[in-house]
Amino acid sequence: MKKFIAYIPAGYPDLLTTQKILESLNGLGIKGVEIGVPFSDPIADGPVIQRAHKVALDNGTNLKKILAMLEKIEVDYELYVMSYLNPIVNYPEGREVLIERLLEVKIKGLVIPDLPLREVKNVKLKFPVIPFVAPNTRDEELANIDEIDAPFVYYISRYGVTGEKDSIPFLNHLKKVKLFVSSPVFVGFGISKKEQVENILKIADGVIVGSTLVKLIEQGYEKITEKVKELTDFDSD
Amino acid sequence: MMKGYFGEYGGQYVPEILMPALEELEKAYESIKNDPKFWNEYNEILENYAGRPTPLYHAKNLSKKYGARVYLKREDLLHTGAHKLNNVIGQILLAKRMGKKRIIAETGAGQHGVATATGAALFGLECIIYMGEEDTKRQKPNVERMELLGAKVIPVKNGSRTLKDAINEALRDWITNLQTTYYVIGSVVGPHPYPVMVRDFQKIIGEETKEQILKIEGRLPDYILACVGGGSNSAGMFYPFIDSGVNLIGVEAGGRGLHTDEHAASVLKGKVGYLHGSKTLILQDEWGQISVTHSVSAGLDYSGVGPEHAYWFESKKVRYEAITDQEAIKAFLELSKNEGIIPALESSHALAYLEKIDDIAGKIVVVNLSGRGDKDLESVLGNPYAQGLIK
Repeated sequence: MKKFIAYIPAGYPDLLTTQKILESLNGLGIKGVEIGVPFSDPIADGPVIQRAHKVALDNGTNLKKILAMLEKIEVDYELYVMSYLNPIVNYPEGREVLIERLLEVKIKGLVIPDLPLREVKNVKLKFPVIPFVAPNTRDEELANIDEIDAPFVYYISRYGVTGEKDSIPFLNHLKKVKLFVSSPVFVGFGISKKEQVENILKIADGVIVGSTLVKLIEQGYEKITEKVKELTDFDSD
Repeated sequence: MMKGYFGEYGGQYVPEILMPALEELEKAYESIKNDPKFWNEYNEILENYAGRPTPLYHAKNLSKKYGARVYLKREDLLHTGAHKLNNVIGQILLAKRMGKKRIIAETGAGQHGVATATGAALFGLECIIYMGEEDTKRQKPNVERMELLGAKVIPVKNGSRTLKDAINEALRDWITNLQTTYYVIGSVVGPHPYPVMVRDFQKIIGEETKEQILKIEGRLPDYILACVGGGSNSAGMFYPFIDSGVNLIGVEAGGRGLHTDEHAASVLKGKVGYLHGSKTLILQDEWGQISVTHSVSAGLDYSGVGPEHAYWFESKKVRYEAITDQEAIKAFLELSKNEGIIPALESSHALAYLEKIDDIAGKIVVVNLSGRGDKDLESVLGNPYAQGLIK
């Protein structure tokens, strides 16, 4: 199965570059891309992604323009939209128009870092939401995840905000999560090295890589495909 | 009402990783809510260390001017110079019970930061204060006070470099250091249980006022005025008077006027949205990006408001109004000159509304004087409008 999801912040450094990056990720055999919608107050993100949000906002990137760009391109992987809650619920043309647009552009699901499991039902988005699981998520909550019937489950690999870190603890908790949840479990936050990916894939179904790729955008987006190839060069496949 | 909500407002809109920490906090809070031992300690510290009860002062010159009986609730006389310490003492006692050794807080004007640094010093806890870089420059004396009290002040260089960015950074710290750290939020904002808890730690303002006014006047006041930024002094003042028939008026920062984009009136001009953990009224642009606000008073300069205020507004339990920078400055100078009290610029917004009450003659009016204005001397004296008035 496809084991790699890339996080690409839309509009960083500009939306045309984002489009080129997305097209360059075709043919690599990845599962999907999370397109990051910029937000003024990204509380779950570390410095690298915060900066990307700021650049994108400053150049006028917004959700409507992002969806129009996605409509123009052909990709051989799944597309997810990652956005904080406020830009989603306050879409200028209303929530229903947004949901229609997401369907038209073939978005598979929404990744919303400030929408925890408990509040999903209170927001009534009428669109698939990717549930987050953290190393401290309690068993009772895990048992509820299967009701959501998510395309995948996002496992946060450590305490903290996004950004690169060396160690990936919590592998034992991850094993338990795999027992509880029938949707594929993808692990994100702090992943930048091939050894980490290999370790995680012994238990999880895949990895999500963000900050490492975002940093490479500054050096030219061609570097991203190299990095993705490096990280996805699995022995087992 | 749904747990953690005020009507449709409130909730816990935070990353999943914070949920167990909020649950732990909620449990700890539930456990002290009806525990007399906790409240005895809280009251004892507020009485002997912080100086409660604060007076309800009959402002004779103001009263004469308006032909009314105007009372000031003197939170400016509380230790550290504002109402903020009520909440800090409550939360730090709770943190101690939870076994947390490291305290973090955000601060805008620095009043909450100073109060938190004070509480941490009192209990010997490590203390980190996040403050927007802009604010560290605007409020340098408060940075120095916090450092003197043993806190570490971290200037936040992201976004607009003001209060909302300081909250963002404090949340990031908390997400990273959950096990060791207690986050002392300074207002009735944030995810549940903060809005309820902070209001409960501030409601002592309203409870005392009720007792004091009944003793002096033998009846409840006709009007109570309090300023609203995040909304903690007003929530604490209003809560014991909700549905009591008293006209409660929350005064927001009108900045350069509500017809401009330069204000911080999130109740009057905000849209429903999600910020810093709760569903509430928020100043934002058409794309749901949070606006950078403006007020002459740093303590009111915030794009959101506590979810309970959004509920009180919608259910008409409280009326909300706005006062401009200039009106607040005028009230600041007037109280200083006529009553010998230098009010905080925040509280000056509430004072300025006295002039707008049409039927004030003969009425009993209480104004919550939430803080003292020493910290604002530089902003006021450097303001061209104020300089004109002083001449």
